Amino acid sequence: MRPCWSYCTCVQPNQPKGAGILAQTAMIRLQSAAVLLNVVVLLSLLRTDEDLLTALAEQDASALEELYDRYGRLAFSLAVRIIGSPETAEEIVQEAFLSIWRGATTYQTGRGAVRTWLMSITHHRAIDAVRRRASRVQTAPIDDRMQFVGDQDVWLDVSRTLTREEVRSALTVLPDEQRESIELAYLGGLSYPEIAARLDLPLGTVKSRLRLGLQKLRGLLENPNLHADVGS
Amino acid sequence: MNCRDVEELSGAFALGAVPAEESAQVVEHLVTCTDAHRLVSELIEVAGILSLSVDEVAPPARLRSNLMAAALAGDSVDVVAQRGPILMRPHRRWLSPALLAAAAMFVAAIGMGAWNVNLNHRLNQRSPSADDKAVLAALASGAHVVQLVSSTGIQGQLIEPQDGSAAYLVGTMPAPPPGKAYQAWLMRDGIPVSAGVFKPSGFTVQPLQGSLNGVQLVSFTLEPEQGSKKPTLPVVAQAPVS
Repeated sequence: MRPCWSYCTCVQPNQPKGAGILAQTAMIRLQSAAVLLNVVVLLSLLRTDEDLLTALAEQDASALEELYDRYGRLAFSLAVRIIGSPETAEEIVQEAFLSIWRGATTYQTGRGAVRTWLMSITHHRAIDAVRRRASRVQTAPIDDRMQFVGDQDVWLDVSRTLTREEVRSALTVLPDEQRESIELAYLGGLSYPEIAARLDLPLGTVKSRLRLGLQKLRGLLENPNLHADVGS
Repeated sequence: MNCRDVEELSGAFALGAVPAEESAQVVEHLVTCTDAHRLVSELIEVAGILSLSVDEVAPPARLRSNLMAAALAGDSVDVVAQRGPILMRPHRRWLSPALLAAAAMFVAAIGMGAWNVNLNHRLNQRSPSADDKAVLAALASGAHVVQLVSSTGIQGQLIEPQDGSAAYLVGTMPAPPPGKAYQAWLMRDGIPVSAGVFKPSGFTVQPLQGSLNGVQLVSFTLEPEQGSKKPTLPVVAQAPVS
């Protein structure tokens, strides 16, 4: 007798083996296989961010649409928060996605999350626009930073699943002075000397606040149980 | 700049808050120092997730369609940026009946618009086809004329009749390479829909399938003779229509 599936009852002792039962069993197997096939097909249709980047590198326009549907809202929100003008934010977001569209071939799998890459481009362009508008000092080109994005698998796994609430919650736990400096740099587009001037602090103090703040934030996001300890 | 200096600056660097000149010195150190590199990598990733903390603002629907239109058109960032806040603005030219006659005379007089000259030439050489007549009738009743933009030698116009009937491509197109054909695409909200596959050689009057209602861009690509489900870049010609 051919081996039977573990959950199949057709070979249970004392069970009638009529044609009806065999047909029923065959139907159940068929349905199970169909469900499994559907799941496999559905899973194959869900593309990861990295899959989308691969498709973008082949100039697959549907991948750009999918990437925009995932992160367009987030990118626009960030640009509006930094630049203030929704119209300029539109330009910035479009430029950022076009940059990904054209530069997908340069993306290296494992070199940071795609979302981080996209948000970094959006952020950089928005900050650049703010600085141009205010005739302020320019900071380094984005490639200076992005070439050093890491490939730590643990952090990538953490960062992919983070929610807005988790990030906000972690920020509220940071000491006020660290959070303030980070926000002035990230959302205000101020360089660290400008932050020092605005807050009337030594340069070294600002540099320390930015570094310690980010390090604590990373720890909080990797291990939410630290919230109670850090705030105290 | 030594390791200690770079460590001090790592947070500011990750946040893009280091002035350009100083940043170059940081980079110079990072490419040779594994420890500093690791620290900076970690902080850049953290800085990247700060974007999640901002309040959500819904982008306008046109942003998606503008993005797709610009991507399929192969626009460079500089070109896009020059277009102003609302990109891919309509380039439609509306010709009133009075202006139409003047425009036709102007075109004929100075020899511009090879399509018009060629069309007249064709009409003189043989009996006009149904498409030729339809185009002439549409022009006579004030059709919308949209100029094709192309960097591949294609010259022509998109003729959109006012009564909403099928639009026409009228122009001069080089013969497609062996095994290839031109395919027209109607772009609505960034989604391309095929408007027909055709193999012209020289002057052509080609009806497009489908209504232009809601279409932002008509694009033409080179595809296999049987056509494609999705456009294959690059776009060889396009006409923004709304």
